[in-house]
Amino acid sequence: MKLVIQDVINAVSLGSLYALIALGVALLFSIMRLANFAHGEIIAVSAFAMLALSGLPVPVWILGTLAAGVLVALLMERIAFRPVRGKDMTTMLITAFAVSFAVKDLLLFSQGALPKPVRLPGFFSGTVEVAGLQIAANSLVSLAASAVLLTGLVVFFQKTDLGVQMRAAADDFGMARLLGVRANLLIAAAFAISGLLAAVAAILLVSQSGSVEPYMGFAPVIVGFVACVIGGMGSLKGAAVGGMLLGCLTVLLQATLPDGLAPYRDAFLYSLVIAILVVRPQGLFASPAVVEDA
Amino acid sequence: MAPEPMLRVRDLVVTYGDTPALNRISIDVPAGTIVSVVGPNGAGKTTLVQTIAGALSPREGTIEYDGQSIVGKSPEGLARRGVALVPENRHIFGTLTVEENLRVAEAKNRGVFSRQDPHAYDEVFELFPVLERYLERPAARMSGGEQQQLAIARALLGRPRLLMLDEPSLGLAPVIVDQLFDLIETLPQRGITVLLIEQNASRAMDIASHSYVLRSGRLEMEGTAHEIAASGMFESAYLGFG
Amino acid sequence: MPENQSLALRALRYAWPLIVPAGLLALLTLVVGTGDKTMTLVTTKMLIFVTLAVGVYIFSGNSGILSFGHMAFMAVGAYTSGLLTIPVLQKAALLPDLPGFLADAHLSTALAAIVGGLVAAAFAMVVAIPLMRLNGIAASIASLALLLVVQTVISNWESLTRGHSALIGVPVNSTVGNTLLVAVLAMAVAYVYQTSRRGLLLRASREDPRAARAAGINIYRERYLAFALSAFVTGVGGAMYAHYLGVMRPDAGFFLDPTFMVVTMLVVGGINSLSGAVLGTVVISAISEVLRRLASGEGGLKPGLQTVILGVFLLVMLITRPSGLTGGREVPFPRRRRRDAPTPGAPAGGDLQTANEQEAVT
Repeated sequence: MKLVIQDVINAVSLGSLYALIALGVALLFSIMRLANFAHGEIIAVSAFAMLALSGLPVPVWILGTLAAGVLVALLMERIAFRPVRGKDMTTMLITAFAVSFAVKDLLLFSQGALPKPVRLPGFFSGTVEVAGLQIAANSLVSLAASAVLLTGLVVFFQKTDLGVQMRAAADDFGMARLLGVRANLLIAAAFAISGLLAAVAAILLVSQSGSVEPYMGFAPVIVGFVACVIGGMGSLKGAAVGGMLLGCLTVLLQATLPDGLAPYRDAFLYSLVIAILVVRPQGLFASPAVVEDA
Repeated sequence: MAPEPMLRVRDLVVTYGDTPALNRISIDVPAGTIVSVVGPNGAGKTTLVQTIAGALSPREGTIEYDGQSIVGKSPEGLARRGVALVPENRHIFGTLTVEENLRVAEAKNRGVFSRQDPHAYDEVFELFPVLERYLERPAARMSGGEQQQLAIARALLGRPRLLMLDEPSLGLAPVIVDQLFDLIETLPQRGITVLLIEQNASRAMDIASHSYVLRSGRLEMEGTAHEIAASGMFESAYLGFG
Repeated sequence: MPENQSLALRALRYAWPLIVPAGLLALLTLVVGTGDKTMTLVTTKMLIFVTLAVGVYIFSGNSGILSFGHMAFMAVGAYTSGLLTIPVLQKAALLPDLPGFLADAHLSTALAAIVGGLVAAAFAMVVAIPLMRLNGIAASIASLALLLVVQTVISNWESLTRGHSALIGVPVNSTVGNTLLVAVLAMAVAYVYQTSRRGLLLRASREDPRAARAAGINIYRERYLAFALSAFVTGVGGAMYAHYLGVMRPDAGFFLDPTFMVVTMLVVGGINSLSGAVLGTVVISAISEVLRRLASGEGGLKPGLQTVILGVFLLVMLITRPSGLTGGREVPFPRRRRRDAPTPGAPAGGDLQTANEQEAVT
């Protein structure tokens, strides 16, 4: 019984982490049709910022890591993505691809290829007693952080002017501009939020693995992208659901795969995903603005 | 001596690739009037207003608003200067509610962290009571006529001085069209100059003080409704329903 | 099309867009690749990448769907060929748990490379069943997931591949000669396919999927065929790569670095034409080599920033000339003053905006 509770918490915790990553990708895709392959590198850079700040008091390194994510995202927008804004999706995807590799290369160059351990503050380790059960502190922190962030996002998109304008832009960017929505500001804000989400994901990822390395962004960005595809490209709700689904499936596979096959967890996960896509290639909540041709 | 027109377009050329969509178009829209642009499908009417609104770039020509050139300005910048466009097919935000649609337009009137004036929507609710009734409804689930009202309400919330309407009567029942044109006629009294694009030429020219007839990107003729009717162009089949 | 043109002339006309790039490539190889050891290695690597780029092109160029994960097939071909060519005794020491037929197998490089291609193609045919149903961008993303899957499997299947450890002992016998041969053969395969009826049908679907479907083209089937064929070529390229490296380790770099290189080569050269794939490979290889020399002390450039510079180069290309250096066109047959029939192999249209985006027009 105890084992199952921990598994459920792990599932929801991982699912919400994946949802955060997916949302960071989906936000930019829904507004600008940009599939930001470099999102993984925002995560990686944030993680290395976390490494650099790890000796400092907790609020400082948290804020510093978040700031790093936002800053990197804004820089990417200004330097690489603004010149290709408005071009077709493929061009933008390749641009993201180029940015991703360039940043990875910079990380490799400055940090070397080997993983570096990160010293985490105490509240990430050990177990916490909840209702008579011992739950891993890590999962709870992850869950709490994701819940706060996801709630914040919902409030942002439903209640604030900027959030409503962003949803309008995702629906019809041209029309939003005709109504006075400032394109540059909106896009910068979207990148900033995406960067924030990436930085939080970085913190949670590092808290699980305990180390950072330059290629660490690749697997998470694949998760984010695949979650968006399952949820339906262009749908924020779909991305969150897709991420949650992937997280739960991952934990389920981890728990049910026999020991010999456990390392192949990700292979099984994506094979399952591809199987799902056979049945419903357009994803769960296909956005009306992007008509598929399959 | 007549005052400068609010909008002055001279020798406007707009191309799609190498194909000219507008070929040396010149129009004047005096402040406080309704000007209509009519003509068959593909004449370039939509291209004209989209270019004025900043969504398209002209290859040549000038566009002056209040005496200043606005070519190359961003659509949002022009919207903030009082140039509003209600595009063909309305383009309401289907995934947002009615209230959210209005809010997007209304937010531009105030600062980023300001609160909304509780009476912000009073004027549009007065004009379009149905919007107040369906405030929380997803905009996609309204009828064509209701969506058109929403689109115009959105444009009006932006406090425009020049309002451009592209085919507002498209797809609407005749009764609704009547109400619509009645409303448009009252706009100059509210301080709004109107540039009206319509295939429904006769009604548009009736309420307009001056009309332009466009065909295949060229200006065929201009004048009052009487002048155009007298010229015989009105009867031409291509003007559509009379 | 004048009937009195001789058969030879008609054949020449047909094969011209193949002959020119192949010939130029051979010439370049002769001039540059028969000098010192370094240049030989550089040229060999370039020719391997021609094969890889052409392999990806067969699918992505004709269908308009960018397959970012195609290096999965390179890896499959590389490991297959490697396993079949490591000397048997050494193999027993490295991989004691290999199943019997693999442990005993020892093929010539040529045969092993072909088997590598076939295994990659077989794998592709399974994976393509769901994959080809996805629309443009979802397919690109799914191909990336495929790359991750292959990496996971190879990294963990210790009894087959030594897992995270390096697989050593692969005979290093990729030469300038045999890689040139493979590259030219790959180009020939690509050319014959793209000028065939099936290839043309796929290209039609790339330009306008809805119209193609309305015309009765079975897009799924055409994509499937191209995917399998391209996996075969890419797999063979992977095999040649294994025989160039001699040592393989399934780390992120093994998968991701060639992915970046091939995508850059295709975009810079022009993703919609065969000449583009070849030209892009040559140009990027040349630039890489220049950067490498600058980095090794002959200039002031710090080592390791190659990708950043190539990335910038790629970015500039995307902004200024997204259809690549060739603009998606093949080499035209020299024309006389009279009006000729259109050259074979010249595709319609040539930029990146293809089946990946099907937006409702606002």
